[in-house]
Amino acid sequence: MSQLDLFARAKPARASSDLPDPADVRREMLDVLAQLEAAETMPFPQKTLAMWKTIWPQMSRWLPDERDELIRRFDAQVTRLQAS
Amino acid sequence: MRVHFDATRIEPVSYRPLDRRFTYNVREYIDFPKPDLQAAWAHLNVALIAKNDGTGLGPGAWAHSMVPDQHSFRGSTGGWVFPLWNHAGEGAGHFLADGVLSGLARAYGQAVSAEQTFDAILALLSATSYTNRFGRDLENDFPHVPFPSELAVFQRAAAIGSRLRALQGLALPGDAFRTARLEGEGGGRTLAVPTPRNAWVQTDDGAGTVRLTSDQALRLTGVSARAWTFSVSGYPVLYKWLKARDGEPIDRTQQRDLLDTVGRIEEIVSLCDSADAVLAEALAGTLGRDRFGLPARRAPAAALEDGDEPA
Repeated sequence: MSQLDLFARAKPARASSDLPDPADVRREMLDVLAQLEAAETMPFPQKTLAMWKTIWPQMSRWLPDERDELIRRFDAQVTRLQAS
Repeated sequence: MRVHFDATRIEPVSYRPLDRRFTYNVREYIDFPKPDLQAAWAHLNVALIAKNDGTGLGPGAWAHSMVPDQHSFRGSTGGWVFPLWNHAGEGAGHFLADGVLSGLARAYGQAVSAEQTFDAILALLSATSYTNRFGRDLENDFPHVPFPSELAVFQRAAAIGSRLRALQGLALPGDAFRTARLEGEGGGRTLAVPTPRNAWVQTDDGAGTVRLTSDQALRLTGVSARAWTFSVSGYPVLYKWLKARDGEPIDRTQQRDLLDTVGRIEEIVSLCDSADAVLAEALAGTLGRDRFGLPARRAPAAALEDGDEPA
């Protein structure tokens, strides 16, 4: 992304949290899982899938109690769809 | 008009890459005092300087830890200054746009600091091949930052950027990079550097010698070709550093500063190579703009395949 996009311009960055909301993380991960579970063929382009494979175990650290289950479900769906 | 002299207003500034000067920061003595920049800078800051067009070979950005001249990126045609720290009480403490740190933290599964992010940006834009690889995009846009999807790659970039930031802020170079030596006699002489073409002569050891006086009584040896030719968008850092001091006495302070400067350049060149390996890893898997809540780019980067870069 452009250097210009990464810094606040006219006004200083407002005092918002620099941490993600775990509820938002959960919503996004469950949405991705739902797309995978509903699909008969891989719904993501290769690069998007590669990104998810990398960040899925990282992101799931925000949800420590659900982490193992999220990783297991994601791996299972990717294995299923890549075999189809 | 009489203006009272105030010695406390003599302040160090980042005039050019690795070239610290002093300014008398009193309105009556400065043509373009850049009050917005000075206000944002406050008492302590660090900034990236980048250009929105015409970025040339060398690092795509430079970090200044003293108030920079707006032309400090390369010596002319200005640049954009991106301070990191926001000292305004109501601010977030930094000038990074909303969504950047939380977007990275979300993808990496752990908190990411503003300083780490600044350093990672600096490293990725300083990678040796960056300005070659994206030369076409840089003709009319700011450098784009390919944030890696893998936390470990981001951390490697941040570590390299941290050292780059230190060196560009005039930290002393590591001993391994102090390969340059002064040979000959400089006492009583003044610096007289020839034209760039004639100033550096390659020697048998693969490095080179820089003539510092018109009679060649004093020479700088052990200067690698890459350090000598190291440039920031067409600004040859070492040659310009020397040329700016042409005619000055070569005293002990000058000699020490010169050796420190060469060492810094040697280490920066090495770090840019290390950053290049990290850039290649980053480009193998990047985070898209949507992960930071940013809208899609207006036009795809011509030098990239779709998806190779964070859009």
